[in-house]
Amino acid sequence: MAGVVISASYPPNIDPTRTPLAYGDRAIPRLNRELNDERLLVRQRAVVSLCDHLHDPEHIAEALRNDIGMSLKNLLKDQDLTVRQKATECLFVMAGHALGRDSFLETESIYPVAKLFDDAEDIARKNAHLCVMRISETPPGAEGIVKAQFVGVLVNKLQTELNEIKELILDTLHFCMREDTQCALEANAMEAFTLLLKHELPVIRAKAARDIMDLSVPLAGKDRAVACGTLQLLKDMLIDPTKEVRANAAGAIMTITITTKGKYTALNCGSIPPLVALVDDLNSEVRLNAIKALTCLSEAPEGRQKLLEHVEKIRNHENDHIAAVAKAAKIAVKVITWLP
Amino acid sequence: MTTVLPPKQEGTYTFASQPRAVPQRKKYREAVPQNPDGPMQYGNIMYDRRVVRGNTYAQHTLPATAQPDPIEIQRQQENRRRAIARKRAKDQLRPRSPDPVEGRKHIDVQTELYLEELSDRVEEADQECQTDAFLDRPPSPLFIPAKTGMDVATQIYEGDLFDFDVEVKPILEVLVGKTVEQSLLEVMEEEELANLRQQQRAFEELRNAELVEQQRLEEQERRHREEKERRMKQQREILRKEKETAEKIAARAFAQSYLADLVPSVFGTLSDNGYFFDPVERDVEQGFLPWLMDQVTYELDRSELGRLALDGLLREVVSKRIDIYDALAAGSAPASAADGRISAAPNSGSKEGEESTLEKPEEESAMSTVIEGGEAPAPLAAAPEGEEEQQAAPTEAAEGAESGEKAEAEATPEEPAAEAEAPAAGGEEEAGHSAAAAAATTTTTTTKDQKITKIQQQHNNNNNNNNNNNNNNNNNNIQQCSSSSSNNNNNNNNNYDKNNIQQCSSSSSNNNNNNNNNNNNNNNNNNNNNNYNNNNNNNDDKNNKSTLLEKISDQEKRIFSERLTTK
Repeated sequence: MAGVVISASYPPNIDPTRTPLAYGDRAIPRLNRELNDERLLVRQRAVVSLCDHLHDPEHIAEALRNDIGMSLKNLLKDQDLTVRQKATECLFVMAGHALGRDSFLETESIYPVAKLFDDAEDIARKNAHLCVMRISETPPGAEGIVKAQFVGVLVNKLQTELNEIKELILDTLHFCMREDTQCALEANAMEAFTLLLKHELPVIRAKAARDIMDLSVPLAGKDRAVACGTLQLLKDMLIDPTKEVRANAAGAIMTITITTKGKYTALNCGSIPPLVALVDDLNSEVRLNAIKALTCLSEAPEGRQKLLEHVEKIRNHENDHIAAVAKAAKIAVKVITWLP
Repeated sequence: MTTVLPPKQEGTYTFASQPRAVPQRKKYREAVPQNPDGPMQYGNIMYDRRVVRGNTYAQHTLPATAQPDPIEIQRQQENRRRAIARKRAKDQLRPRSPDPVEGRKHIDVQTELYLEELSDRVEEADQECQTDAFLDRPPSPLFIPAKTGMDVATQIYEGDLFDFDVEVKPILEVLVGKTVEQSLLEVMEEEELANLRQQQRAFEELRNAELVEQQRLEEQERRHREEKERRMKQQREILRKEKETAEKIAARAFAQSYLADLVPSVFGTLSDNGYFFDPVERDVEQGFLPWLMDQVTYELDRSELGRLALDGLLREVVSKRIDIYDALAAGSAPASAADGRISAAPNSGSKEGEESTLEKPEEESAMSTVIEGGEAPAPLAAAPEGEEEQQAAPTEAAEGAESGEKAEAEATPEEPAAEAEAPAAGGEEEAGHSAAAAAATTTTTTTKDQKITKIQQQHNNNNNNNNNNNNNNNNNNIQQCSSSSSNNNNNNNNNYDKNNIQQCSSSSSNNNNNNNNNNNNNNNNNNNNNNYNNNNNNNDDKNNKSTLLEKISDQEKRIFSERLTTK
């Protein structure tokens, strides 16, 4: 017979890696207290439970009311890997919600998170990048990142990081460049993206092409892209099997060919035939971008000449079910058949 | 347990010990036996060694006197000792058998011939008996009291305590509910995120498209505008050019008509002022005639000299004759005939001189002057000498120039205006040395030096094509140009001001072009150019960068203006 003693230790089936949550609204304050505890084990368990607890938005709100943000920020500098990793994961989960993002920006947690970019462990870095990526999706977040001058750091990281993390960085940069392209240009981002266009993973290629598209929006970016010889690579990507790659490549071409120099470089590379082929693609984004790119190219007389043969194809899409494509097709036809 | 042995003084025996408890006798032996050497702990009085046993009246008693005689005691002790020592010695003397080996004991054995039966000896047999080694105490077995009492059993069947299905429901619900809720949350989160992404993507697509459209239109606008501007600018250019050409034509026509009669008037004035002269005539006027006059004067002087000599001769002859006649006609001699001759002699002499001179109208005047100025033959003689020297110098110079290949022909125009300018009108000396060590073609031409008193030396050594163009329009300028060695030294020195000392020595190398245009007063320029390979030194002071030709034209202009003003 078992002993009838109320044991002081937990029942044996409970997950030892996390503290049990206290009841009701004592949960968060207790977790907060434990987060700042001196004992490593206690901290670890607390942060793990917190991470799961925060998936509920209501809990996030409550947690932020109890000043979890500052505690997490302090934990980011912790010695132990688990604590750091889990803390960044918490921040990542919180950054999925507006409240969390606001608190992130208020506590200026971007700095300790950015220090984690250089962490030795992959998982910590990955979480840190995930967190920053979520943050950058919102305009104030992107602005914060740009102001803290992390764009250059991120571009440099592109060369050296793992593939997964590269993806995240490319996403982050995509959003940052919506805010401000100047620092990215200064950090030689165009060259970095051009290098990535040849990566073996299609996802990375697609994202790199998208980033090039963003970076080429200002005039300086366009010139830089032409100088780096990006158009040739983009043209090769137009026949890629993955649709995102094709769409983004067409998009990048369409932004770069707005300048006269870009136009003529693209024409010399012979980008018209693949773009024409893409006009009939199944994916709407690909069609849209291809039509737009052709519109830009037809601003030049040589382009117009070549495209007069393919006008019919584009005219077919004027009744496309996607409104944007239809409109783009109309504009394209108008430009191609324009006479001075 | 303390026992005190009492001193054996009285005949009684006392024994006293502390009361002690009886130790418990242990059943089993203990690990360490205690006190093997101490007195055995007896309980029985009969076995105690300290109890006197047997007859007590035959025992050794101590003498009455308590104190034994120390000497007696000592003696007894000695006796005892002696006895012991004797015994020991005996024992030692006796031959012994060696000591028995460890664990054995010697025993006497009969070795005589006839054995003797030992009857007093009991037959012995060794018999051993050994108990088992002591074991440790086993643990005491569990005391299980015998079962007493009644047996009662009870059994819980299913459904007695609780209904599992019913009871488990809420627990299960909670568990599952929580799990599901958590997972739902997570899934919803991700779905939400995915939707957001989707929307973002759609939005981005549109945005990109719009952005591109906007930029394209911008670009288009820009290009059209630029094109338009360019065309307009072109048009404007054309118009402007046309207008300009029209104006030029008009200006030209006007200027032509205005200046139509400028040229003739200019030429008229110039020719009035005597700028256009026939060089031959001028030369004749200036060079030939003075020379002619000089020659004439010379001849006349000679003839006069001759006549004077003749006069002298005649005078002497006449005087001699007079003397002779006097001597002869001491009485009577006609003196009138001698006077006639004397007077006729100078005339004849003069006439001879006349014949000897050249025939020119001016000669007569010169002769008359010579004749009339006969009182001062010496200065006249000196003057022609000076003139001779002067003439000799230029002739020498001419010869020098002809011999050497440097001809410095300097025409000195006798314009009064020019002379007015020149305060010190001295002679001009020029010595041109051509060290024709290397028989190279060196041509030095000096053009149009219009000022006087310049001392110019030129040393050209080792020269190929040294062109020294020296335009000196100044007073008192001392210029030395020594260009040595190498090829193609062009020294153009244009000096326009007064008191100009300039030294240009360019040595070595090829192609030294030294253009020194100095328009300052009192400047001393020492240009030592030791340069190699194509040095063009243009020293232009006072922002004067005019070329040589212009210099000349400037020079002419200046002179022209000066002429005009002074005129």
